[in-house]
Amino acid sequence: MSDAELKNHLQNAQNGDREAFGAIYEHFADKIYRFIYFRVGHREVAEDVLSDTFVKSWQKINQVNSPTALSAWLYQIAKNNIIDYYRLKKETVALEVVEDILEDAVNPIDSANLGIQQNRILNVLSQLSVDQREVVKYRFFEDLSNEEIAYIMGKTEGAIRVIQHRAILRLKELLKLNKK
Amino acid sequence: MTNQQDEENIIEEIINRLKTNGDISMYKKPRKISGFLALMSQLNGLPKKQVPNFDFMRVKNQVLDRIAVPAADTEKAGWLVGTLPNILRIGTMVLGSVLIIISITLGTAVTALNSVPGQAIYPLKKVVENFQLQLAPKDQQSSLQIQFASNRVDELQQVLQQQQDGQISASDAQKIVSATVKDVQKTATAAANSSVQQPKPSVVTKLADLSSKLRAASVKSEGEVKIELDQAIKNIEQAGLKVEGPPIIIDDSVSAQGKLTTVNATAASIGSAKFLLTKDTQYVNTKAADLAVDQQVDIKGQIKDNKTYAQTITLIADSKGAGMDTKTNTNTKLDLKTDTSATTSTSATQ
Repeated sequence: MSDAELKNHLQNAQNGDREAFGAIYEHFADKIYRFIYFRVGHREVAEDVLSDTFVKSWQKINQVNSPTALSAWLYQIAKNNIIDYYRLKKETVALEVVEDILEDAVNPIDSANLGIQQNRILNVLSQLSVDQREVVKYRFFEDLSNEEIAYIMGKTEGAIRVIQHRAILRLKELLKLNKK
Repeated sequence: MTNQQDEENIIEEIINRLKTNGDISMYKKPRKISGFLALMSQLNGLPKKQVPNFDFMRVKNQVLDRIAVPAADTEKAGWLVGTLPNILRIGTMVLGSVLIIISITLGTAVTALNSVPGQAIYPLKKVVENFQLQLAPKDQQSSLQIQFASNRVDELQQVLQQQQDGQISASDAQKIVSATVKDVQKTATAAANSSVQQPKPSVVTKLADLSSKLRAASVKSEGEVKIELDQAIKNIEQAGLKVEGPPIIIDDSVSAQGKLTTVNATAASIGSAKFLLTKDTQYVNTKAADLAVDQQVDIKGQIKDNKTYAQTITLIADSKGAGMDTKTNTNTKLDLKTDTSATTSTSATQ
């Protein structure tokens, strides 16, 4: 879908066009589902959270100012819905903690067939700060943009860039130390 | 632009090119940057786990169904969702304040109920009792009034005790007792007057209790207080008499009308109603010797010592049906003012 088409769909959806909103769903559902699945670890639950995410986004669709922000905004709603899901289960509400809990069960990386260097990278990843580790995961493992990560983490894009830069430097340093 | 910002931009650019399979050859030569490139290429090349497919269309249809509400309703729901928490918050605050006021009021009222005359809070006790009286059903009001009168007497006893203990002066006690006694009389009279709504014996019993309580208080008192109390006892006893009303009258008269079924020298019966004949029995239109079975008669009698005596027997028609006067009854009519199930019972009216 081109930017112009997305803009058009967004405007129509904001005017109450359900079909246009359906097109927005078709464009974003896969990647939002993937994001949710890694954090809830269950297909049916992920489908329910995905459904809630799009229903809530329809209710607040007028809050989105530009089509470029739409994707990041949807991730933010999805994140809140995941937190709500864990709240209902009376479990921890902090997303990074949620992610840690589910890390082993639904690691976005297929760790069964890793090379030596890839294994070393994954091992030193745990030595990064929480923010740095999150940014690396979102950016490299889940292919999110800085804008999307910024919405999810509640930070500015500039802050994400800084964290990303420091994470790469730190990883490089840790791998160097690990090599020795 | 600082070196750090340069590096941030380069890292961002490399990541973008890796994601879009762009040209990265330019970053391979600078040694420092090539180190970043190698690391980021390895990170980007980590094998991603496959996510199980989800029912794309089912979720889409579910979403479209769920959002299929009129826009106006959505707006209204949005407004409500936004406003409801505020309303609830304000409502909770108001409710909290009301509960505090109620609890303070109730607490004061409860304290007032335990007060005695002379205390500042005592007038509130009357207000609470009056409120209680207004809320009570009509048939329980006199009972409640007596309860209040009894409360007054209890208070009197406490006041007299305080006077004996020297907590209040004799003149103060006299004033309080005087006011309270008037209150007792007023309440007891009101109870007696309204006792038509409920069983009188209970009111009478309670007034008697009240009177005996006052008597006990009177024994302990002296001077003006004693005079007041004695007057109150007299008035309450009179109120009790008023409730009791006239003496109970036993109505022992009995009458029967119909055909005679049995006749002999000592008795005449209409069905199961048997009347004994005496020398005082009077006969109208007939004589004792002429009484016979099947004659239509009207017998008036009196119950005495569990026996029914005929006072007057009036012949209405002879056995052949010839009328003695204009009134002829064909069916036996037994008009007993007593309970018909027992020949010796009486009816009592107050």
